[in-house]
Amino acid sequence: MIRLSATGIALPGRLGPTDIALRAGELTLLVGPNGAGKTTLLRGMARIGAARGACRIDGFDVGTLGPANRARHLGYLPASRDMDWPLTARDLIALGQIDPSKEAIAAMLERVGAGAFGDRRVDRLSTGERARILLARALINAPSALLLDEPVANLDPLWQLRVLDIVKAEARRGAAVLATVHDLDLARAHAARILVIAGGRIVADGPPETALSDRILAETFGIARSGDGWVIA
Amino acid sequence: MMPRVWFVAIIIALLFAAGASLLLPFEGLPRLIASDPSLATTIAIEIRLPRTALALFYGAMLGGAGAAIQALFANPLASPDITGASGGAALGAVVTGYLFGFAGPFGLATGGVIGALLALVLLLSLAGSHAETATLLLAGIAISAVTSALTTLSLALAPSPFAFYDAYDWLMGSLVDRSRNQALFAIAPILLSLILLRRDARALDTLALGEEAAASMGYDLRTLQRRVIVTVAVGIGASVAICGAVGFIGLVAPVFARRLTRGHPGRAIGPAALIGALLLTTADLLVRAAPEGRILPIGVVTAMLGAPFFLWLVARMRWDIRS
Repeated sequence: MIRLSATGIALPGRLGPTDIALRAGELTLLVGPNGAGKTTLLRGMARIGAARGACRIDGFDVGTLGPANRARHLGYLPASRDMDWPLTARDLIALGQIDPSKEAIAAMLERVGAGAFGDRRVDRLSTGERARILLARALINAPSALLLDEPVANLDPLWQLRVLDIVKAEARRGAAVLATVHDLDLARAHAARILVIAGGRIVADGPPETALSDRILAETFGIARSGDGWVIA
Repeated sequence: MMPRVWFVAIIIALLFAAGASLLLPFEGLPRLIASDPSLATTIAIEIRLPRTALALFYGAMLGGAGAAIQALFANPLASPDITGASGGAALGAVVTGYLFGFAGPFGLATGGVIGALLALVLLLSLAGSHAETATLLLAGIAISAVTSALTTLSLALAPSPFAFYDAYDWLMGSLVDRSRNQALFAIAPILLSLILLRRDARALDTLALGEEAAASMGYDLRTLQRRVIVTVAVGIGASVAICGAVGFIGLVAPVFARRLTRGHPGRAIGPAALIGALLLTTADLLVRAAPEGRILPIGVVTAMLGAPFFLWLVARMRWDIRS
């Protein structure tokens, strides 16, 4: 079932007109070189900023949904981990929550391994700890679609895997999930579907074996496989 | 909201300050009530009440607007005076009143609102909505410098030979000898402004998650930004037009208020208004402690109390960055 359908997402100079459909229960990872347009695409799908186009989640036009409804349908994790105000982790998650529930926040804190620092100020947490709190904020309403900009950035190896598990669990619950990652091995191991973006357009879309073929890796990233690692192509 | 015990404590302190503001010195008014009740009533209603009410409401406006501006710019060092809004309002009022000749409270208030609005729009276009502290402060300093120079110049060029002596009132603020009518032209816009700002408290809190996260939750940031800036300009513009520019309360009150709202910048608007009212009323009591015949501008008192606090805030931010 198509859960999210974005059409004509475009930003002149950054991203050519792009159509994407995400199915319920599917984890799609978006990869591409720096400046390829990953964040622009995600922001455009979330209808943030100046990008043109339209995005529907469960048939609802994201751009016209008001604050209460939009957060039910869409969870968005921005790439920035900066916080301006000295809020506690618990309060930060509550700010993203539509139906206030302390129990739900406590459970979410446990889920992202933050039970011990729920009452600490987020501006005094490490970047990785803060990243998990911000992810928790995006997940707290159990939205039907998740657009996550680098959910595993800044995380240690264990938490990269745990966050991918969390994201996969979200997909199993029925959400459509699109997340950007830089680690191609991680992408290959965990995604059912991979989108490769380069120069502001999608150049490959499919299961890891085809989307991350040697030709595409060389053309878009300029790298090639060598044994267990990577070399410059 | 803030803890109830603090709320009650602030309200009690406010009542004491307002009561003292109405009655001090104690030997004066009570004795007059006994000897000449009608004169006492006239003094209380025509002189004391407008001054006390202006101190309460202007203080509340400065605190509330400071909290809203800080939330909007995501910066604890923003405030009506530092962003140049108060300076712009003073300039707008002076130009309207002294050069264009619309010296009634309505003319002054309108000029003040336009001046404050222009200053804030200029600041936003210079510094951007999520400015670095340095950019925000520099843009604010530049706007304040220009507006205070132009205010002084306008007063020097004004047809009235006494206009220049009013410069202190405009640049440093004064609550003395305002009529009930004048006070109403400040208080009505202040009430409107504070009510509207409180309605945006939740959206401004959400903005604490960052502009992108707030936008992804469906908050229209450009509309919010415009609405807050126009609302602040209405309240600050009208109150500065009646009382002149008073510094530092808009900076200090929100910092204390956020300690009562666990760091939430939006819901600090209400508490910041209460704390601002308390601070300005207290500052006005200090002004009245000046020696007989001397007039102490209220802005001097708030600056002497507020400037060290500002320095402490800057030092603490630096310390936070280094640690």
